[in-house]
Amino acid sequence: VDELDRAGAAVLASPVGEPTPIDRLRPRVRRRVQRRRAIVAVGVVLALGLPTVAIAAAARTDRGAVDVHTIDTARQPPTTATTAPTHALRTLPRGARVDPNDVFSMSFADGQHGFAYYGSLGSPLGLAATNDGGATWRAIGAAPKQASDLEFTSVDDGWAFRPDRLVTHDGGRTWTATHPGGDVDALDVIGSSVWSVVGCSFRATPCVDHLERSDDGGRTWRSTRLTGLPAGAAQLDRVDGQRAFVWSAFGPAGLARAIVRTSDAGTSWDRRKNPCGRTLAGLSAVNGFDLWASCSESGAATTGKELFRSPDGGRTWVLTARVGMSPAPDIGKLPIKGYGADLIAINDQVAILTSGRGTVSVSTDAGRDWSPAIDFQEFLGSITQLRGSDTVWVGSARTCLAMCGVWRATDGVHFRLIARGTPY
Amino acid sequence: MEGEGFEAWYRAEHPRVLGIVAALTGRRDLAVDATDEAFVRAWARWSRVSKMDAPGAWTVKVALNVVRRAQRRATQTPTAGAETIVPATDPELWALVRALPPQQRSAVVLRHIGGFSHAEIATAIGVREGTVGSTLNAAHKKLRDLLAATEEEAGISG
Repeated sequence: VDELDRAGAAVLASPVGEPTPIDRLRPRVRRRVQRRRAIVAVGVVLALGLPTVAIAAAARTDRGAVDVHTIDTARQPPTTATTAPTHALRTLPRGARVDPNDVFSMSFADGQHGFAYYGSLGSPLGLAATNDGGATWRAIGAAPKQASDLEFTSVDDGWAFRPDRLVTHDGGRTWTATHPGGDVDALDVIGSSVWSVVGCSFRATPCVDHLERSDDGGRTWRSTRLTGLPAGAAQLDRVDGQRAFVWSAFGPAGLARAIVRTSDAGTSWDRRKNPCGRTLAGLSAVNGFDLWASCSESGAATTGKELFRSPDGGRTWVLTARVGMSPAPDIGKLPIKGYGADLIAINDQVAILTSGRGTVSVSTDAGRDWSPAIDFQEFLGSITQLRGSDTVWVGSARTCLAMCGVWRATDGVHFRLIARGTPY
Repeated sequence: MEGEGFEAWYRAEHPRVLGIVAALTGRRDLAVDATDEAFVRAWARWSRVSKMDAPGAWTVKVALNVVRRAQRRATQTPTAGAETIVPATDPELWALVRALPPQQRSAVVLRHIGGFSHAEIATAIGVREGTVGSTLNAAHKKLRDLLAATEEEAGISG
């Protein structure tokens, strides 16, 4: 009990994040009060037997026409503009157009044909597809159950995974379960060669992830232990048929934030040095040796970050950029806004860093200076790269305050809004 | 003005609520969003919440309900931004805590990170106050067993 008290105090001593600024909560509170008043108004008038009046009253209240400035009127005068333009989420019939701000977990089979979920990030309502490089999206059917990510290798063949693992051979119309030996954390496909990292539960001791591998498009599977890797949230980055990195953002002490590498198609795995004193937020391999890694401190609104490069597959690391790690001085220019999330290395000079609740930034000088490429202001959306190309798509996935929709860069640097979405 | 005193309470209470929710979910993005939503709800009805015996416990309860709803809605966690975290200190101990059954895990986190009383824990997890003591006792015993097993295993492999 004493040990728990001490450990609990230590947790509180290093907060997970800063409080969200109160000015950002205020509009949400106002909308909530509006909604509650609308419900009360409907209830009261319906009780009086006046349904038409009730609906009209609710509509007025919901638009903010009713005076709801109960909170800090001095700073935010009541206005009908407090209700942001929005659109309702609903399951769409096949062929219906999908708002580009609603797509997430995008995966492209080639430069034109892609698939994605639509709905609220993490809660898919259905599957959507594009055949014009992401400019328009149409509903094509139901989302496969128990799978949060997609990976398509052709217009017909694709995978849905995390935590289950399903395969389609008819462009997402039907899905077949492939029965992994546990929850799937990651999956990466090259042609008919499918690798997936299958996690284990903390309840199992010792807890060791497995690599499940299929060389025939998922008909048969082989499983090998991923020794040296802590369980949980493992991610997989395959360089080619032989070489791959698996890394984990957390784990028990001593094994925390580990990186392992194989150069023999998963038969054996070598532990590599993790450069991060804090969370290993992103790892991306240009090839079997040239690695980029981003590290992030705890926090949400602004966080210290570091960017490391390794020229030798993770044996040694060079600190390339740093921000907000006082008293250590800043190096280069890294965005302090948001916390480190995905990192995609295009080549040895160019990479893209997405900061959760921050921006999408690009470096063209090997990771030293980063400049914002898209400023969604509140980004938690999704980013995907077409394998073997410099083309990258970013979707705002309803986590934007501005510039919402699907963006594309064909050179990994210059993003263009190709499908404007309706702000949420 | 409605909301009088909210801001000071929010600043004081936020680290504890966020720390608890993050420890229970293991997800910073989910914890931040759920904590924000819980404080928004607390602010929206501050005239009532501020008069509660344990407004912090109520806020934790709301945040955990938000988490549960989000997890029910989601087939799985979001991909981008879904950063899994464990406390930087004593990660092995917290990994064992995460292995406890849900009610025991919640009670341990609320007690030892939140410093909540039995009454507050009862409010937050929706059980009777008398049940909290037995839940914590069971959790402590289970943790002792798990720690002993871990140390024994380390001794064997070492």
